[in-house]
Amino acid sequence: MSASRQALELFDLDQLLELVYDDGCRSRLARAGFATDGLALLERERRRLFAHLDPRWSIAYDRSLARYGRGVTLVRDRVCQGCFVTLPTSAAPPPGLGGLHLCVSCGRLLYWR
Amino acid sequence: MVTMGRAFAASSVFEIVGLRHKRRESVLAQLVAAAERLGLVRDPEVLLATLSRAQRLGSSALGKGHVVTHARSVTVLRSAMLLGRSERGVEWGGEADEPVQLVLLVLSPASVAAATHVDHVTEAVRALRLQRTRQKVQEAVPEAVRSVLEEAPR
Repeated sequence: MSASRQALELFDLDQLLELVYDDGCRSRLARAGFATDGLALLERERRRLFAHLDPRWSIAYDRSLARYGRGVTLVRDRVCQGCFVTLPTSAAPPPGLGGLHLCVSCGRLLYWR
Repeated sequence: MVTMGRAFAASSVFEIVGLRHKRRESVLAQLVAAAERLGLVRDPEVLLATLSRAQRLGSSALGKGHVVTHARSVTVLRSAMLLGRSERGVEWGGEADEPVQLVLLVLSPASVAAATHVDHVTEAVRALRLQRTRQKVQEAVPEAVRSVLEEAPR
């Protein structure tokens, strides 16, 4: 599995866990019939995904999560969607390929595609 | 709290999918493939993995013959709802003791706030609460399904 896919799966898992850790969201989902029995399983899964991520990206992911509240930020039209700085053309991945980068301005872990 | 109409209006795309499969994982894969065809998803494999994890959490609201599942994902480009209809029924597993005929998948981009995503999901669950609404949804022509759900009593 590519590093970018691992990071995106980790990010999505964090999004899911955010719904469970938030008391308001969890109680509303529970009232609608959504269970959270598998929380321990998903926490193990998160640790596994994080451990398999290249340390270069896992450190950046952790730092982005701690500082900005989300592990990965998207790039749209060459603009970091976290700090809205236009990134250099030379940093763009080849057409059709996505990849992980660090924002030269804010240091967020970026997914650029 | 959003109203029913607003919850569905927030989903810029509402698509009906005829389900061909009987197994849960295959059905989720079919719905994700449909979302990709509609240009809603950047990385379908990531979304499928996310939905599978949501199942492991227990994150599906099961009713009589229907299920609502959801994902808030970095790979989703626009809020959307995809409704899968199955004539044969889907073996959903878990606590579902009867085949599932309706599968409603609620998708939100990661940029959508958690509370807003939960608004959409809970409203979708309420829309399918009544048996007569589900019956109408099952029998309606695809063009009419969205309005059936928007007008569903809560």
